[in-house]
Amino acid sequence: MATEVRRSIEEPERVGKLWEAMERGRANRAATIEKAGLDLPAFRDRVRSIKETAAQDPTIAEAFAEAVRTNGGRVFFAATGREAVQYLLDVCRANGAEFLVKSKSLTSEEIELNQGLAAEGIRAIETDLGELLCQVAGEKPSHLVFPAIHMTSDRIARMLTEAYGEPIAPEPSSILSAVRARLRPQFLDAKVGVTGANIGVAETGSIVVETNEGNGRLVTSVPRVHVALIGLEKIVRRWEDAADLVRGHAISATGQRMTVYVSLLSRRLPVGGDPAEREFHVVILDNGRTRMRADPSFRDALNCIRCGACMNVCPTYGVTGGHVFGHIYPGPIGIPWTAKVHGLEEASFAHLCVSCGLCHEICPVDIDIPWMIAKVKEQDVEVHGQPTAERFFMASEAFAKVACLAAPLANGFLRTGPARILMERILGVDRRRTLPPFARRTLRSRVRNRRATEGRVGKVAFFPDLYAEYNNPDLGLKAIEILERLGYAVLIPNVRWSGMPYVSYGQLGKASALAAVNLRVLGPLVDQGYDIVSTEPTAVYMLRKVYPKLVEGDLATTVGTHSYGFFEFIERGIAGLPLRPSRDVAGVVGFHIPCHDRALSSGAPAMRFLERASYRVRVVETGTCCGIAGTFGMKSGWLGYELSMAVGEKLFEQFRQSGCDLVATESSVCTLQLGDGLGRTILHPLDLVRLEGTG
Amino acid sequence: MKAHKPSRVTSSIGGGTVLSEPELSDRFKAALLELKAEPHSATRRENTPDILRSVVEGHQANRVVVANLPAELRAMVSGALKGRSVQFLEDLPSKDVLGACAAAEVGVTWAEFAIAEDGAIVEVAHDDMVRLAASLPIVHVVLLPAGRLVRDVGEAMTVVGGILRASGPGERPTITFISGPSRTGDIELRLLYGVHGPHSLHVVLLDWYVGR
Repeated sequence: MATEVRRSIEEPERVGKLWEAMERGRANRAATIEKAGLDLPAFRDRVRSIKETAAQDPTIAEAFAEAVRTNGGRVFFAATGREAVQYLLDVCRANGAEFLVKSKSLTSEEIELNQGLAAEGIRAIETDLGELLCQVAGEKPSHLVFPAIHMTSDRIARMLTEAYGEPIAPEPSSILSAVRARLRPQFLDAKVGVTGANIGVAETGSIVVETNEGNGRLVTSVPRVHVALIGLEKIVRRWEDAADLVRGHAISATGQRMTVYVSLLSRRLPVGGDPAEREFHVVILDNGRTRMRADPSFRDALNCIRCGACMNVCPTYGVTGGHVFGHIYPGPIGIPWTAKVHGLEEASFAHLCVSCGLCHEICPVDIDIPWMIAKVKEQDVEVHGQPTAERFFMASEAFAKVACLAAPLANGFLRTGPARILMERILGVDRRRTLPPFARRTLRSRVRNRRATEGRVGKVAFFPDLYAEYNNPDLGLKAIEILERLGYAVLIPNVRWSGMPYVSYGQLGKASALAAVNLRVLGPLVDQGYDIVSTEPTAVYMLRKVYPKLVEGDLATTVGTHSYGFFEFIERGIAGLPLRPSRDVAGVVGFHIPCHDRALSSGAPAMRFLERASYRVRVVETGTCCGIAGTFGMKSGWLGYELSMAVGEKLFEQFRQSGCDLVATESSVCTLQLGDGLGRTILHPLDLVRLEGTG
Repeated sequence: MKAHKPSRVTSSIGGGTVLSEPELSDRFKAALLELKAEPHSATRRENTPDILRSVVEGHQANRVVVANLPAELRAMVSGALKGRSVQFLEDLPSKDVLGACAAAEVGVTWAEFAIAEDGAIVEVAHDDMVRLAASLPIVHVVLLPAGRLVRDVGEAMTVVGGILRASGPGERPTITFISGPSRTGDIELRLLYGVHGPHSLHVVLLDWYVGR
């Protein structure tokens, strides 16, 4: 895989357009949501509830099948992809068809229909332009919505010139005319047409096919036989359920309000009144879905509506592309789907996931994709073992403890070239990555002798995590001081670190054990009226979002709901705080939002804090991760540092272009990435203020 | 003075009920334009033929197929397009329908209603000649009673759910929401029209006709 990642990074033209497609997809989605006045949380809840019912209730598929039959259609339940392919073969043979025309269907990709038919001498002609280009090139689609996004028009023109035996100019319009002319007779001669189905509707035995190009209309009207292939999780009960899905598909995929053609098909219609039998077949595909339904860790994947939004936001997918970051299903949701449908062996691209969590944030069905990916990683490292670097980073806490005991020595060591070469060879920590120096005295040792203040307003348990404890206790102290000024009694509970690397690297057992230890400390504090506050966004993300998944029961949820980001927490009392800027405020602060904070408050309270201190603040963002993703970008090689910097480069360039005078972020690891990428000092928002009366 | 609020008009389409809101008309036209569809307002019966003629002339088209129009509009359409080959598909032997649609440059069909905020017209087909006439020619002209507008896709689904539920199992129509001309972004993300279906979609809003 390292070789493939290297090729993607070293030949950016291979995936160069992909990044643009993703950006445009996200921007169009956001614009349409705003313009349509869509209440996104409510919409997500509705779509999720519709999909959960569809995916979990097996009686819906049966009711659907019955209704299709009543309409005069034929239904085949295919337990496996192979059975579905065989059924299609039988249909083609019964109708004397040597080829069939097909509109875009990811489900047909899943069962490798084209290959199965070709082996028996039947050609499947892809009619969706992107799919057709992939078919001519002999390549897999690289994006769910834009399958041929990896091809330039020059390449397409050369390819089609050769394939069609006529000169085709590289202008997109010429390509379009050539394809239209070439495919038209094939549509008109086809005896069998195959489509997927975006939705099945049980009450009337109907399917919904959503397309933009109009090929779906031709495939379902011209041929005598139409076969629709549908995953059993896509069937809803009522038409009213279909509306939100039609909306959700298009908005999340391309930012359209709906696709150009939304076809609601219930049976074959006559042509010109001719009652001659035209056939409608529906193949309902299981292929592992019932197994997924029974598996609590993976049943959430069945809620996927195949919109592609998750791949539009995935940082490492964006620089590697769907051929590397995917098997047949690409991108983040492709990881659990591949593992469950095609097997763990095909899902090793799971390790390209950097656990930024953005796929969950953008998902219109609120699917916890990162959690399922962590499960896939867990299964994979059980079989294939864990790289040394990952084991090292999972031991970060122990390392930090030791390093602090001999901080000058450790810091000297970490700054020495030969030592870093050694560290890279033995531990797999990239020599080029700046690592944060360790403090002589930890935060706890510095707080120990302070006089505790009385809490007039409330009580806070400050969760330092590694950075504020071992690397930058000054930051922790400043945070505590502000909390005390605001009237909170502050203590540092006897917790360990938050332990994100365990989740990122698939050691969920260790993650759960650590979470349980921390919860045992934090639970009683919450009961005594403490709120938990951290300056590290990832720690809050773990407490609020991940611990409740790692540890069953109310304890984790209770602690989670009482956990806050520092700036989010102090906003309540901030009016009374005498904040002064510690730097020249004439310039602009370029602000980076850490990914994990996008699940929390998206940096808004920190930015308001800086604005209160008279700074002008501007978010600088690509809309995705900065690339370091915790410790991912500290690992050496193409599956670590190189990939991380390739992702980061887009953001670095935006910072360089932004003309911002200062750069700030809340996350300790994003600080390292931006520092390495920009070659300048990255500040924590607290570095930018001083409190009146403290010099 | 209180603004006059147009009253809502109820019409029944084979079991589905459209509660039209004529004040949605401007939003519908704006949405059509955004989708690169071309709205035409036929305010009176008398100027409707001129609109049809100018659309067909604008595309320098000679062969026109027509399907699914209310019977009382057929004479108007054939009159408007005199001098050109105009085939009413209902009149053709069924074996000739596909060939006629494939050879035509313009397909004229009917929409039962439209979805204002989405700029989508709703085609209800009981025979596939309707879909062929609307899909194979490079130009699609669709006639629509101007007042029959629902607000959004949710309302539209309720209407079509009603139609499909009310139809017997062997009679259910194929219903299609059409938002603009056929399009693709598959080549370098450039938005291109007319890849397989029509390159142009003209929506003629009949102010003077309330539908069959």
